[in-house]
Amino acid sequence: MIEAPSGLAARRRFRDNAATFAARGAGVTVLAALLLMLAYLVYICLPLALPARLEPMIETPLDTGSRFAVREADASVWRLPPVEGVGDDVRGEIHSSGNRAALALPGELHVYDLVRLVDIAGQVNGVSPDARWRLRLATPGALRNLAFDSSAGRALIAYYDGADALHAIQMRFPTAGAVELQRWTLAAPALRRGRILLNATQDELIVVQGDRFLRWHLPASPGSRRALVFGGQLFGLASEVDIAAWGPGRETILVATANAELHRYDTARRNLPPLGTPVALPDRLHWIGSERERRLSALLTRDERLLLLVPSSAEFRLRAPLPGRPPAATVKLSADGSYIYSRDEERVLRWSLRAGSPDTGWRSLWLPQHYGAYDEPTHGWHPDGAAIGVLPKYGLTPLLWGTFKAAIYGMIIAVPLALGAAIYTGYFLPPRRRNQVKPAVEMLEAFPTVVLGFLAGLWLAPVLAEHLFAALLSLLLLVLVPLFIAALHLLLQRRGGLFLHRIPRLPLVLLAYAVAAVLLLVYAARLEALFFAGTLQEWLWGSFELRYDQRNALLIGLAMGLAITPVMFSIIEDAINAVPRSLSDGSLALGATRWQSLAGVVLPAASPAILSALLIGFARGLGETMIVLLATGNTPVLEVDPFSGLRSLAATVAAELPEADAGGVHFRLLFLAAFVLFALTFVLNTVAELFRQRLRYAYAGR
Amino acid sequence: MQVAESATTEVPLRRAVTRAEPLVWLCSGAVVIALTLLVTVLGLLAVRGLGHFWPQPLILLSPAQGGETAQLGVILDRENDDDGRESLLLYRGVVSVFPSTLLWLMDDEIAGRSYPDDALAIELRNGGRAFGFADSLRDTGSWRPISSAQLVGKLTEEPDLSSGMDDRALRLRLASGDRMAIPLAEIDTAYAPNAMSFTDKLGYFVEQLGSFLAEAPRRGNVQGGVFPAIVGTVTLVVLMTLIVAPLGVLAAIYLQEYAQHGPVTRLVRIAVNNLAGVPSIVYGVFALGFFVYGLGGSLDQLFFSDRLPAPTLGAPGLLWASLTMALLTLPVVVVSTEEGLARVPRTLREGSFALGATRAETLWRVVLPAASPAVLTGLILAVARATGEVAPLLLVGVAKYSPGLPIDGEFPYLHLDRQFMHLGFYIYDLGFQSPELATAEGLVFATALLLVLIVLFLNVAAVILRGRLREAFRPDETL
Repeated sequence: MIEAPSGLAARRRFRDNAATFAARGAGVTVLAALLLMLAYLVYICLPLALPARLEPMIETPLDTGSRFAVREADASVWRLPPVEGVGDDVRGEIHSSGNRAALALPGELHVYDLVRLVDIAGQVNGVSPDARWRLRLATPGALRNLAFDSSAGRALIAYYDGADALHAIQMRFPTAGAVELQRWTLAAPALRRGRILLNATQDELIVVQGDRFLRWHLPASPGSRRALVFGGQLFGLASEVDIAAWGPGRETILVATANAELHRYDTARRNLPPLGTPVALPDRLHWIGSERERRLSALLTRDERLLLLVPSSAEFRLRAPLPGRPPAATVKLSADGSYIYSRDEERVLRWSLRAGSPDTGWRSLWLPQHYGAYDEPTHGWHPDGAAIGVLPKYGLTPLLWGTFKAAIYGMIIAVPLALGAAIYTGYFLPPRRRNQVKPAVEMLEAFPTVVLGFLAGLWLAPVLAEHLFAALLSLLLLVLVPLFIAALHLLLQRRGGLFLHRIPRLPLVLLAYAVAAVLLLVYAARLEALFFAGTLQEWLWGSFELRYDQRNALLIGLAMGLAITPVMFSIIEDAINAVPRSLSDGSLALGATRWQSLAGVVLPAASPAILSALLIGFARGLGETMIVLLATGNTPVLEVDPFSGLRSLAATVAAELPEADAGGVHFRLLFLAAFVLFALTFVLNTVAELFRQRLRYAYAGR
Repeated sequence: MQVAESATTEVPLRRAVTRAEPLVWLCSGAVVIALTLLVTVLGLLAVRGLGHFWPQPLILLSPAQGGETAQLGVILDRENDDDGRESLLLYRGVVSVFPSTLLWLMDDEIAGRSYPDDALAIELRNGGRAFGFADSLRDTGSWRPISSAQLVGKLTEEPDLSSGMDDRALRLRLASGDRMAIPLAEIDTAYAPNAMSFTDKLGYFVEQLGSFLAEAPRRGNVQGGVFPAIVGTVTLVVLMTLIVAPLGVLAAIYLQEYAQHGPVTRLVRIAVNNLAGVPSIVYGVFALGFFVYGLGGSLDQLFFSDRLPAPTLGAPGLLWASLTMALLTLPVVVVSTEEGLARVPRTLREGSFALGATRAETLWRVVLPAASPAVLTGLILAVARATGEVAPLLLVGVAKYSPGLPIDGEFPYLHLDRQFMHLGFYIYDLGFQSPELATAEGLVFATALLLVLIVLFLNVAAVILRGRLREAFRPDETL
């Protein structure tokens, strides 16, 4: 025995321990990486599932000597300058919209720009007296049911006078400081005291009273004074109307009735048809406010509870008492929906609304929604609608559908190809050939999916569109040609000859395919004309109304099939090869043919691995990004046929996440899409792994 | 025995069909299809990709009666309409930066087609390209007539002719008959493709191939080379390898050499298998949220707070991209290394232990050297996977065009925070976002070919290495 110096021994022991520690650490890191990924995806998605909440209020006391307006955009409080000749004891009626406020006094109207400051006292901004337009009114009595709406270049005011006549005043602001006025007196004989609603472009006016409505379109050109009018009835109301108000994005009108129901009417149609079924409310309402850029409405019940509702999906996102609100106060929602405020003579109260996603619940993500301007409930994915002035649609169903469609079409191509090739390579080829063919087929893995996607989208798509019939026929021939050879073989065999056995199979099949390809090139066009009297696309459209999109699921199937074949081939081939030769030898010795031994003995033995290969291939197809991104039109539709496009979760994430606002609803939904992909592939891969382990143990002791 | 006999006599056809083995033929068909696909796709990429560098003949189309002027250019595409009439897509060069002058011409608009030997293609330094005939040259003050062949010869013989700032210029006669003067200082190269011999064309081909590999892209990526994309791709995979190699090998050693059979080991195995199966885009999503916004944002606040709000590490860049790729390829390395470790015979280890070596020493001196081909195979496969993967890069750091390379002579030489160009993304971007696809298609095919060749080469290398390893340690030979 050699006694090592104690220093060396200590060093060796230290190194050994360090190595153990490093190896353990690396092993745990792998586990940690997966868990971290899972946890982080959940962490980002979780706010989508959490209910909205109201944060504590800010109270702004108002000085009783002045008039105040609250700017809609940010709920800031503005003190209006005193009006000459009208005492402060005449309060008047104040409405605000956008960056303007309107003050109605007997016989006159004032419109203020809530932008120009003269001073700031506490939280109250003083409006400059210059930023005011004074409109003299020649109408009798006090103004009633005043409505005011303004945008950057225009404002519209509508009201009933003391004699119940309806007036509208449109203000246009061509340049700063200048104003053009146009006044209408509108005949509304049936609706003498209706609720007036103005649209967001200040050129339309809808009056609702009971279940009757009238709508005017005010002409845009200053010269023409005729307002177009249309009237009708709101259908489906079972009870008296409490309130009518704009719905989210002013796409719909919400009507609350005395039997605590909320009805939606579609303003995109002239006759305001009802949308969907009424939403049951916990109580009657006395106020409705809606956001302009999200599908969310805030409702105040008569028992002073605040409800946040997504009207299109009838999902309540919050039910909370609104604390501290004085009974006589008016309530409003700020333009971006982040504040709710109430005001009375003495104070303005403000609550901020916090939510990961107030406007998307489970139902609006996965179920069809009856959006305004649609005939029936639809699925839609249109997350950046706000950019072009329509409400966003967050339906994930079409994306999930597209994901599965792409994977399934890929499997339709890949499974026969991978299974057939693996069976032949693993069972029928002699070992020497097998060692050449197997790596060659596996080299298909070397095509990056971006290259396959590019070839499919740019090279194959036009070819397929032009020669669809020939392409489909050639897919059929890929199956028929080997069967034809088998039939030929059978024929020759019955005549006594068996010489086909002596020719190597692969070159023979290749030759047969080549002959078939030549025949196809020569005769395809004639056959197509014969069968379909024109092109196949025209026939499909004429007979089934199937539209042929150039970038479609068939194309995806071909490219994706090529992408997932090598993985599946590799696993299946290994599994077939791993079945002990003695098993099939036994079967052959008992008189079974080669195919019978394969089908009766080898394949059943390898079946867990084959199943696992299919699952892994399918998981690969679900997550494939580049091929789908490049070779489909990325249209979120729910179609089954191979000639329509699709949009998958993975492609949507790749295309939209770089542009999505970090922390916004869209951002979180894309994370949810990634989480769904993660979960799907996790389940598939785990099941596949269990199958494989079964096989591993079954033949472990061979 | 009786059953078999009765089967022969009663259904001979069925027996015969079984012996003809239709399903085996079908399976052999699948092998043929798979191999044909491999060859076809490679062939397609090779023909279209390499064809991009071959000089295209310039065709002169004379107009039919009442048509417009004559046209000179390169045919990019042909199409037949339903009546069998052919129409041609003619590329007439690029006068300024955008757009290329493309023209669809119907068969009946064309009276004659010819390939004149003196047709000249001129590449301009600003990225433009002009087609015409040499008319005259102002070399020493006055215009003197010159033929195309003379001009090409003169430019080859006197390479400094087209440099310097003076009033020397070439007058080009366009197909329409108009004349256009081009300062010699603006001419990059001039050649007469129709008059070129095969060797000339080959020379041109090699030169173009060289500039494709060595030059930066020009004119919004539709011309020039892919050098920055190659550098970006290589830097990415090298950094990735540096991260994934130690982690992957250690994790494999843990699983194979240290781990006991227990719940933790099983969990780690499940984790490895699942990491292999998680779609690559999910890695991208995770990396964008966690690395870029989370980790990068925090590091920015700690170390680069003076540059905020402009992000340094809090934006997509090389560091995060290589980390993402390392995570993505981790299972590849683990699985391959584990397989290699499992093949190292137990006797080797026992011999080492018997000589008094510790576990770490046995691993380092005996087991790992024996398994090194497997480790290398795993790394090569990881590199191959990372080279071809684009989806996560869309989110974490790839750029359409990046002025600076990730490696250069400026401190700190390796710019981990920079965005970089990538071959795969180049294909995606050029093929699907470019306004000038018709003229850039050849370039996309060439890039795709390059990418496929790199990945193919890596895969072949891995297959060969793996074969060597299997040869070296056959289970029966080690006894």
